[in-house]
Amino acid sequence: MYTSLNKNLTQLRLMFADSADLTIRELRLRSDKNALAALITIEGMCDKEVLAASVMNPLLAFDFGSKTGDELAASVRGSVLSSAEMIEVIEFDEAANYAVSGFAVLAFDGCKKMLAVGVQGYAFRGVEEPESEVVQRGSREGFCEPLRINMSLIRRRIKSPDLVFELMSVGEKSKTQLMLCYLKSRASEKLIQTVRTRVENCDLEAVLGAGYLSEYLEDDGGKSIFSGVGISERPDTVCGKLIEGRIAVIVDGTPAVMIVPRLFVEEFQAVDDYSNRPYYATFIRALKYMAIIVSVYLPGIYTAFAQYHPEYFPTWILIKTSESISHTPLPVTLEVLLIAFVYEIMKEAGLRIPKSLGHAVSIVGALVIGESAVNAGIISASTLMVVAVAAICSYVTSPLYPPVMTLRFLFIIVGGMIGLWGIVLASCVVVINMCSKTSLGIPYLSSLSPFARRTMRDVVLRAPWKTLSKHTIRVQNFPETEDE
Amino acid sequence: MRISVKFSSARLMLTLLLCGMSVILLENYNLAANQSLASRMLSIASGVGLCIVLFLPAAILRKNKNADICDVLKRKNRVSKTVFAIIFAVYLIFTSEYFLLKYTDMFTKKYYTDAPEWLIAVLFLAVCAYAAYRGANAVTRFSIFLFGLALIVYALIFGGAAGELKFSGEELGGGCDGFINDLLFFVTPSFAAVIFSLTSGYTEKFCLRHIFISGAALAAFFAAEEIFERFALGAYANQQEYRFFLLSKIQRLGEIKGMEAMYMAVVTTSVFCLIALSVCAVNYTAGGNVLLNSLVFPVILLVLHFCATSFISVREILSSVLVLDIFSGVAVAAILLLAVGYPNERRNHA
Repeated sequence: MYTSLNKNLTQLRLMFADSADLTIRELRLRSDKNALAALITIEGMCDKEVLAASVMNPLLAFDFGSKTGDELAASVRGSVLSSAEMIEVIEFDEAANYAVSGFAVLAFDGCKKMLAVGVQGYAFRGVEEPESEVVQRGSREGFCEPLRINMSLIRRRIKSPDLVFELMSVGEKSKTQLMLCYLKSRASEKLIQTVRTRVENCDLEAVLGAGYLSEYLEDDGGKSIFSGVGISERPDTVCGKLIEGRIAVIVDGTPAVMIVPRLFVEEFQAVDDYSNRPYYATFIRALKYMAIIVSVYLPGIYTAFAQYHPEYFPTWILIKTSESISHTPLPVTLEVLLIAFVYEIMKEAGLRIPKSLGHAVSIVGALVIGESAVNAGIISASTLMVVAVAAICSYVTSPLYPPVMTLRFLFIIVGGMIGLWGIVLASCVVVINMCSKTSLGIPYLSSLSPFARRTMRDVVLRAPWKTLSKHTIRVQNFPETEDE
Repeated sequence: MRISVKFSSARLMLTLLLCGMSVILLENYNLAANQSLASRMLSIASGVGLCIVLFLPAAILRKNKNADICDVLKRKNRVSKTVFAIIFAVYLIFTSEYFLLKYTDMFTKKYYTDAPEWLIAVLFLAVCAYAAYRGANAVTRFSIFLFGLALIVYALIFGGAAGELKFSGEELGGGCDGFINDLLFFVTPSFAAVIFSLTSGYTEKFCLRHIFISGAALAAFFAAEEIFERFALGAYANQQEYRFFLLSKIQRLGEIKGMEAMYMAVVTTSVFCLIALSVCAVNYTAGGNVLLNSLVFPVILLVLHFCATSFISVREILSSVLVLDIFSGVAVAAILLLAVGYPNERRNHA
């Protein structure tokens, strides 16, 4: 930086290419030498009231006497401003970064450094109940977009100095801020270093959401259909994971937090499990496992049965199914594929369509495509029911929806082409893939395979709290955890 | 992504136990028709007992000398290395082909009678190659799920057959020839010893007890299968191909049929584990490019399979229990030779 204020301001203007949102307010301070200063802010990133009350007013009211540039800065920092966040900046890049993050950057004539004062205040959505992780009993708070608010939501739940937030930034152009969050005494240093390295190695120009980073955090670079990175919108869920030694990655601008490592069995755990009675939580989990199996296999097995092994149907189902199928023009495989495909289209349309039109889509889907197609003899009622049951079951664990949907299609095709044997072979490939997958070196199917008896108390069974509290399971202690 | 971390030896034993069970699942006219139950039980006990004995050289090598075949071969000269490598390579190819042939034969006779055998073999070997590429750890992790599936299937099949057991018409008899024939058949799970010795470098925490537990479980399973087939199916079963298939076919759970589909799933996954482990053994001992090894071995099996389906004499040799047992004996003798000449762990450290 230069000692001349003008030169510093010119340099900053050049850096921002005279961008319309760059605001530079030049100030003449009360002093014997009529000292000059400038306040650099970015439009819309600062709280104007705070800026006026805690920076402008005290600055203009204070009598600086005969102080030089450096003395001015020291005096402003030491006794004039009351802001909690005040950082000395000596590089232009640093100053620009603070300005774009909502700080007010103070530059003084005759001083080679600047002061970044925390006056952030921009419009954002408040803390609301997350839509995708609704609970019956438990907190109604969900993450929102600003990084600092998400940080406070976690801190409020773990009031321990052991909880560490590590600030980083990614994206060559976007300079997105993110925080690694972990419990120092619980998370393994090796895991933290791995996550740190992977974030640093992210070479994206812009990181506009947490999802951009998730592939960089995976062991296999996101080649598997299952994800080794968890995402949660709930601070209580994230806190639970931190206590088990996991690491959370909070990305600015995303109302969800990534958690690594992520294991398969976690997809079936929910916050409600720990509020409900153990027997009920166990029942619900067993239900979820069965639902996922039904969702993946039912359409494929139905296709294989109808196409190759009708003798496996119980007689009464066989009579009804064959009667229903015989009146439709398409072969069963195509029919199942068609319905599953139409369902996916309707689902996507339902997600993207404005809420006011949602009812119309439901009516069109249920009545026109469903009932009318059956009545017209284009599709059979039994096939429709099979696909519908599979679709409903897949929502029991919504994070698993993408792999479940992919596998459902795979098994329909394989079942239709090769029959049950094809489904068995395809299952071998899928399970082998899952068995070889790791999340930060921890086997993805941990607890189940490799089998870990001690951790099974919170897999299908949910043991009572007295048992669970005896030993906290730390994720790095799972068997067969790999070294990086 | 391949897994480099070592896994428990018990899990490898579990996988081999499940592979060993496939021997009886694919049994087809290999057992003497008129042997008494007592003679059959004796042959099971002797056969599995012999398997355990054949396992001992591999166990000694692992337990006392903390080594596997690879470690031992590293200390040998080039000629010995080549000779032993050939013995084990031929053994792995023969064993894998033996089970592949039996499997495709059962499959085309009992399930897809119109399907070409070569196509079944191609698809099956492709999946095995993929699994082997993923590594022995992934295959043994898979076997935990297979174990769960097998427990359910056997419980359903045996549970269903329990109501049909008719303990009558059992005659004492059966000659020495029949006993030896049965014994030869029940010794076939000894392939587990060779595969264990070739892949045990992937494992840790070996315990001698696991061999005896696995042997006992295998014998109990063979005995249960024999009792259920004999008393639920009766003499009729002796004239039928693949008796276990027949046993599964007649079971149902209320209105739900299709237990033979579950049997097919278990036998498919068991043979899959066996061949995948064999390819893993090749990967481990041969070193070099894993992808290439994982592809070359299944291609050799496929070529052999083509030969076997084209020439009946080749098929007879490749699906002969006697030849498999002789090969197993030779391979175990080779392991014994290697084990005897290898210094034990303590001396090695000194």
